[in-house]
Amino acid sequence: MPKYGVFLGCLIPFRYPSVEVALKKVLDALGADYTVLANYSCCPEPVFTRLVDYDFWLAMAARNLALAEEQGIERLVVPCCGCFESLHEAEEALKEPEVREKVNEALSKLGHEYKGVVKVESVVETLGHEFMGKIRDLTQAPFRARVAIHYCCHLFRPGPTGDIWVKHDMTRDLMRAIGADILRYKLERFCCGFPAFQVDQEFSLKERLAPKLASMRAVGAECVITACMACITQFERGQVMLRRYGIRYNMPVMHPVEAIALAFGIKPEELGLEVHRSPVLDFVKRLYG
Amino acid sequence: MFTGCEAMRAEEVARKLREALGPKIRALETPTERRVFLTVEEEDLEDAMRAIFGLAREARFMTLSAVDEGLDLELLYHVDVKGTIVTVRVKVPKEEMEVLDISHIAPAAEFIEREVRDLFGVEFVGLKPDKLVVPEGYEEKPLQKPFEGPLPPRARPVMELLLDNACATTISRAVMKKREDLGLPAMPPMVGAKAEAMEEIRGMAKEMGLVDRIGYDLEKKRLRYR
Repeated sequence: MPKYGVFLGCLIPFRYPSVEVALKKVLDALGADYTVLANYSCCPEPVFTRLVDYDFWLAMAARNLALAEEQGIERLVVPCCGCFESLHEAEEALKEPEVREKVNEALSKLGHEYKGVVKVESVVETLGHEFMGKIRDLTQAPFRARVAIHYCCHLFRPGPTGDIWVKHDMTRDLMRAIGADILRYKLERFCCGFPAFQVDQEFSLKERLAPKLASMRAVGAECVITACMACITQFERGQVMLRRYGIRYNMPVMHPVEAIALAFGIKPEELGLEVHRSPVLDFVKRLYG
Repeated sequence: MFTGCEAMRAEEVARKLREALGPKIRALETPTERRVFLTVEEEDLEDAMRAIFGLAREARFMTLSAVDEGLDLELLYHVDVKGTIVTVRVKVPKEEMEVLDISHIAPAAEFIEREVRDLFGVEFVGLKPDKLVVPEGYEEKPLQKPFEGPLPPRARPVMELLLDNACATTISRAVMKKREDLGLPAMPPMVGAKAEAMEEIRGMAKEMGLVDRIGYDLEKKRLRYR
C-alpha cells in the first residue's frame, strides 16, 4: 500500500473541520497508511493567485509538493477540489524539464527540491481507485438518502486516460456503494455560481444557485453531495442569502467523506456536523434516527 | 559630439562606477556602447551623482524625467559623460515624496527639479521654494496619478492573506475551539502557525519579485494601497 499524505488546505480546517474529522476516521477505518502534510501553505488558491503571478503560484504549489516528497509521501490525497486543481495543474506544468528547473532554482534557496515523485489525487480518486470494495464492506449504516451530486468544475481535469468524467463517476459510485440513491436532475453540469459571486452576488445567487437548487428539489433530492469546499460554501451561504430575494431552500449539503463516515457507523456527534450552515445535522438525525 | 579616443564608452563608465559605488549599485546596465543605466536607492543619489560627475571634467547634466508609476515616482537623471549618456534611476515611494535636491552638484538641475515639483508634487529637499511652471498659490499637481497599485480590489484581500499567513482564508476562535472539541489541534499543521516557516514564504515572494510587483509592505504586512 502506498504511503498517503493528506493535504488539508485552508477551507476544511478553518471552516469545515467536520470534513477533516470524517476523512481521518474513514482513512483509519480503511487501514490506510497516511500522514497529514506538515508545514504546508495555501495550495495556493487557484484563481486570483494564478492570475496575479503565475510563477509565484507555481513555486508555492511546488513547495507543497516538495514538502510531501521530503515527508516520504507517495500519494498526496486532496479532499478540497480547489486545492486539487492547483496542485494537479502544478504537477502537470512541472513535467516540463525547463519549468521544473526554473522552479527548483527558487525552491533551492529555501532548501527544497521537487523531484516529481509524489502523485496528486483527489480524495474521490483515492477512495474510488483503492478502497471501493472495502468501503462497500465497511458500510454498516447505509446512507439511504435521495442524493443530488453537484459536479464541481475543478474535478473536470482529465486523468491519465483523458476521461474528464472519471472523478465524478467515482463520486457517484462511492455514494452508491454506501447505499445512496443518486438522482438525475438535468442541471448536473450547471455551475453553482461561486466564481460569479466574486463579481455579481445577485446574478450568482438568482441565476446560478437558485435554478440548480430548484432542479434538485424538483426531482425530490434530500441532500446535495459535492467534494468541492467552494461549492459547499456557495450552497450553504447562498441558501441563507437567497432569503433576501424571497427564495427559500433548506437543502443539506455535505462532502462525500462525511457521508461515508456516517455509513461506516460513526456517530454524527463525533463529526461536528453542526459547523454546516445548511441543516445537515437535522437531516442526519432524520436519516439515522 | 565626442568621437574616437576622446569618447568614454559605456563599458568604461560602468567599470568606473562599479569601483566608485560598489554595493550601492542596485542595477547597472549598458544596453549600447553609449548608454548606461544605473539604479540606486534614494539615499545613495548624492553619492551616485558625485561619482558620475567625478568621471570627467566634461560631464554635463542634461535633464531629469519623472514617471508616475502609481505607487512610486521614478526619477531619471540624465548626464552626458563624454558622449555616453548615463541615466540614474531612483524610485521615490509616494508615501514619502521627498528626494535630495542635486543642484549643489549640478546647478543646471534646479530648473527641471522645480518643474517636476510643480507637476508631480515631489519635494526636492534643499531646493528653493519658488514655483516655475505653475502660478504661485496653485497647489494642484497636474501630472500626479492616483495612489493605486496593480491589483484589482477583489484580489487584494486574497493576496494580503496569502502573504500574511500563507493561506487564503482566516480561522475564527469559535472554529479553533470546535477543532479542539473534536480532538483536532486548534490549528492545522500549516505554515502560518510557524513564524520561521512563514518567513520562508515571504522570502520566496520577495525573491521572485511578487512583493514589489503588487506593492506589498513586508513590515506593515499589508498592501501599500489597500
